[in-house]
Amino acid sequence: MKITTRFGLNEKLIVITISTIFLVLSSYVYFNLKTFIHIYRESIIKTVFAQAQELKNMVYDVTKLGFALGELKGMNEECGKMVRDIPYATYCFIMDNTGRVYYHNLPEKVGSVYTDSITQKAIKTGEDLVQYIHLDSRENIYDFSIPLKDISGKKIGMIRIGILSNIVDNAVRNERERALILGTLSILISFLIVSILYRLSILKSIRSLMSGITGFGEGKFDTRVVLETKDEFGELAKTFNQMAEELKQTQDQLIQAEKLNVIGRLASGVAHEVRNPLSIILQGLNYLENRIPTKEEDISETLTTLKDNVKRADKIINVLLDFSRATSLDLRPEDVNSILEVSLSLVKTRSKFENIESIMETKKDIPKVLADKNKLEQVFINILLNAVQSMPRGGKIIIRSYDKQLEEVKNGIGRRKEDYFQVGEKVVIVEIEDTGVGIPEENLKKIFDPFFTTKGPTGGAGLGLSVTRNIITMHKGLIDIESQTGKGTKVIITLKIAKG
Amino acid sequence: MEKKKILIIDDEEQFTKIVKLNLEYTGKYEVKTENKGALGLAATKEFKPDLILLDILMPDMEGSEVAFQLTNDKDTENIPLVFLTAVAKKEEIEASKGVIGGHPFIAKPVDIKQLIEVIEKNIY
Repeated sequence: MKITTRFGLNEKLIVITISTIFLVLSSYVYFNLKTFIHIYRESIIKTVFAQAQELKNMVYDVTKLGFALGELKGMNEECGKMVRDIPYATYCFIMDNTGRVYYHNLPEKVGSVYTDSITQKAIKTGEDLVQYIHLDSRENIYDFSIPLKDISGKKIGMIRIGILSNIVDNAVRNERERALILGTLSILISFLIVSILYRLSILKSIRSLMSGITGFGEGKFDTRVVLETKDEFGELAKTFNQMAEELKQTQDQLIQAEKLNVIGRLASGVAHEVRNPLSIILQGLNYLENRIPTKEEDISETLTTLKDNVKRADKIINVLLDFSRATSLDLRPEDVNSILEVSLSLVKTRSKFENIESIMETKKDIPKVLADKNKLEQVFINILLNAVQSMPRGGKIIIRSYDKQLEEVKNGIGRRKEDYFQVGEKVVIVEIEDTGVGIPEENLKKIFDPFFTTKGPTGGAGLGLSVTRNIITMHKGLIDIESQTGKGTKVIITLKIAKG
Repeated sequence: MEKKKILIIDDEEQFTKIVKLNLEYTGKYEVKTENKGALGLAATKEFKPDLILLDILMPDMEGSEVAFQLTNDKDTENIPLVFLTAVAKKEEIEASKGVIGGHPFIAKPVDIKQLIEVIEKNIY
């Protein structure tokens, strides 16, 4: 996949952010303005009607006493007050049902008779009414008409109030300016925040990604990206780390395989070269045994010790040869529980099984595994012997077996063809747990290495677990060790189920 | 009782020397040693052994080659052969029941008692 681009992530991000903010803001302002105009208009109407109500009450208070509409006093002044009190009011007058004006904020208009269509409509209706009078493109008027009623509820006239439409236009203009300032400010602030966030998070993310990748590229295969953000960069880092881990493991496996390969090739050569001198020593010892009177205990004891040590060296050669020979398996469907039982009974006879309690927690009717019975027995014996050796003062060995479905991706378990196990595959698990001394963390990694031993010169050659893993690997199975110093060790073996 | 004649063919000179000492010490065997396959063939005709101990891995001629020539020669085909090998494992010996190509074999290092047991089992 090749993607070429002219712009850096920086520029792209800024352009995208600003256009997004602009789009969001302008649509926000547009819809907001519409609502604003509507609400503002409503509020003006309410204000005007509320103000007119006072005037209406005043008229009603007098007319209910029997006075006619024309007999009121001081109403011109009241109308004038209304014009002054209501912003953008241009006129206020009181007329009767014929269109004749009785009171007006401009007293000279008293006595005039209006017959225009707006007045006609106002006369006809008994309700509060707002009409829009279109004068010219610049100045229009909202005409409010509030009916006046006498005590019997009969309409005797109406109050008319005119408001210049500029009131709304001006408010809209003000609002628009406000929105513009607000918008510009928001864009600036957003831009600032985005830039800072970008510098803080994205650049940082990219830098740690880069340093991880560079380190890996330089051959430091232990390098990992330290980035735990929950965004795509975090995902990328996780994916990269996973890939790095897999590569590292593949490399480790290759190194391990190469080591085993070398040992295998060396084994027969070493066997030949070491066994011949051993043969000479053994034959020489036999000769000395026959020729030297063995009544002296020291001499016979020494000769026996020498012979034992020849056998010990020979045993190491035997283990070594396992590497060169362990290339083919005789795989058959086997019952893992019975192999476990045989192995345990063999270990019980072979080792100091004092004060050790063995507990079998094997699952009945477990599926058969695909295994080489003898080789698997060797594996279990190796692990059990290690467990026994780790508990010189006694303890417990728990042997478990069960089947389960693999769920999580791990080393050797995945979705790739070369993974031994696929996610979702059903497997048989064998666990051998002891309450022994445990394995220090720094040794856990090396525990499968050929010739790694903590048992000292009198112990084994350090090949036991290496052979064990080799056998499990040949079974296309997995072996894991969990251990805690002072608490014990658990060996977990994952095996393939025999099909059919 | 006449001593049985044993021929040891093995490139390890010191080994052949000590095995000769051990076998002859029992008083039951007359032992000749050769450290080269080809010389071993020649010695067989001359020495006419009752049994041959034959090393498998030798630099000049492999034990199997020596065995092939011996079993394809009318004069020597009936002489019992016992192979010696330093590269076999105990399990393999058990699995093959101690026989290679119809001949028994012993894995080095071998105890003299064991060696005599095998010799006695195979000698006429």
